Amino acid sequence: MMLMYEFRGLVINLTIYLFLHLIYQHHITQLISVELEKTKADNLSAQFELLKQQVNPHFLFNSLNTLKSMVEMQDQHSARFIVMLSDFYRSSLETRKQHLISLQEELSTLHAYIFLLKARFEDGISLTVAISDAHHASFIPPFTLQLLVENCIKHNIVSLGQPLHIHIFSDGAFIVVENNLQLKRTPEASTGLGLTNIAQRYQSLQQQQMEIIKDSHSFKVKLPVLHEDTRDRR
Amino acid sequence: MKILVIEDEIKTAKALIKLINTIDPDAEIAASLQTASAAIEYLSAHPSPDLIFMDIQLADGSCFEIFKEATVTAPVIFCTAYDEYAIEAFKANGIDYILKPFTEETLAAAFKKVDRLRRSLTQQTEKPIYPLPLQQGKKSFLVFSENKYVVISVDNISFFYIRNDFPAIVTFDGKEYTLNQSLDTISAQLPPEQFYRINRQYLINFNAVHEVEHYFGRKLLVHLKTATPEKIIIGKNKATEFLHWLDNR
Repeated sequence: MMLMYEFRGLVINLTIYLFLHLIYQHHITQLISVELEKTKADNLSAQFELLKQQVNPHFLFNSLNTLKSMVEMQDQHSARFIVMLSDFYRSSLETRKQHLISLQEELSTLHAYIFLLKARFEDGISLTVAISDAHHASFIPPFTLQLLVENCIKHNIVSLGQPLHIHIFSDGAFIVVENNLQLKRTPEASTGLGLTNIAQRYQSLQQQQMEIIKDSHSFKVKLPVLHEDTRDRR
Repeated sequence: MKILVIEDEIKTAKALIKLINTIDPDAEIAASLQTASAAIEYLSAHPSPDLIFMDIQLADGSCFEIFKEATVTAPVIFCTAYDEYAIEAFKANGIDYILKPFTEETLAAAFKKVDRLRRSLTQQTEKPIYPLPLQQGKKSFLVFSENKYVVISVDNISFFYIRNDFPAIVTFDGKEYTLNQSLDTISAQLPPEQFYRINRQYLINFNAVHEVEHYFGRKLLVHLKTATPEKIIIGKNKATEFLHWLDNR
């Protein structure tokens, strides 16, 4: 008789335990699905931010404005400007998702970018590119050179009175982006895709780090040349 | 109108100046500057322009630096590809904020706004000077009648009165003209020995008074040489003052 009572108590306890466990499980599942939704939303907004950075609205509107001025002044380079702008945006939207692209490709995008900048600032900016043949076959994270040039004009004076000179050249195992230092009174708001971002990309790609050399009159960023084998490691 | 253009893009500056000249052919471009430093230098060394067109991101930094280091008295129209500076811009003399690229119509609308604001502001500051000094008095009134502007000499005016809420002039030959000033403003501009404000409705010329007779309640009834739409009655409080005015000219 006692045993039966004990057994009954056990059954009741077990039922209650199972019931509670069910409720608990349900609660956990709910938490997980909420978390999942949140992650999805975060991911979407991150993607949106990335897309916005790719489109770079400030650059787009500035370029459209330059184009409008060119059309109004009946500038004969207007048609070429449109082609360069679309070239630039095409590669900007296509290649950002890749980890590495050939330096050749990067230079052709940079070429379009430089054309757009020259149209906007005229003789307020000068850019020279001298990359050795050996480096042309190397690789680079997409838009690194463009970001570095963008950085230069973001922080330095670009005017007819004080032109900004940017040199991009090969130096041993490095590609160097150098400019004369003439800082603005107030730097433009940063997009966040600055030097740290590039440094992080290089860090994850190779042992050798990107170097920044700054003195009173110049600013230099040295990018280690990446060869095919580093691409395979990814 | 003297206009200062502060814009770091050479092409945009050129196109803007061209547009300004088509919208307002009288506009004179005082200078076209690329940097905040040049603008600070210019504004401290030259008299203030009448209007400034300003880009926000200049070749050597933000345009708000200019306001920190130079006194800017002219109204500013900001032209920029960035939309996030509007509030700062309004704190800094901004009267319009144009997003680049913009059309000629947008610029023309901004010019109209400048014009409208300038007019309403100058009207307010000039108001105290407007009524002429009393001893001199106003000599004539300009009225608009039958699509023509007509100048009426004060000597030809028999009386002013309020007709349908608006003051009107009645001349000695019986013609009526409407005015858009208030009767108070009119009476303040006229020589007090020549014109007398008999009551709220009527302001009469001394030379128009034909005769004055006693009316009941110690009031006075005034007959003018020109016909009046109503009887002109002077309240007992003003009667003595009126007789005094007639006597002591």
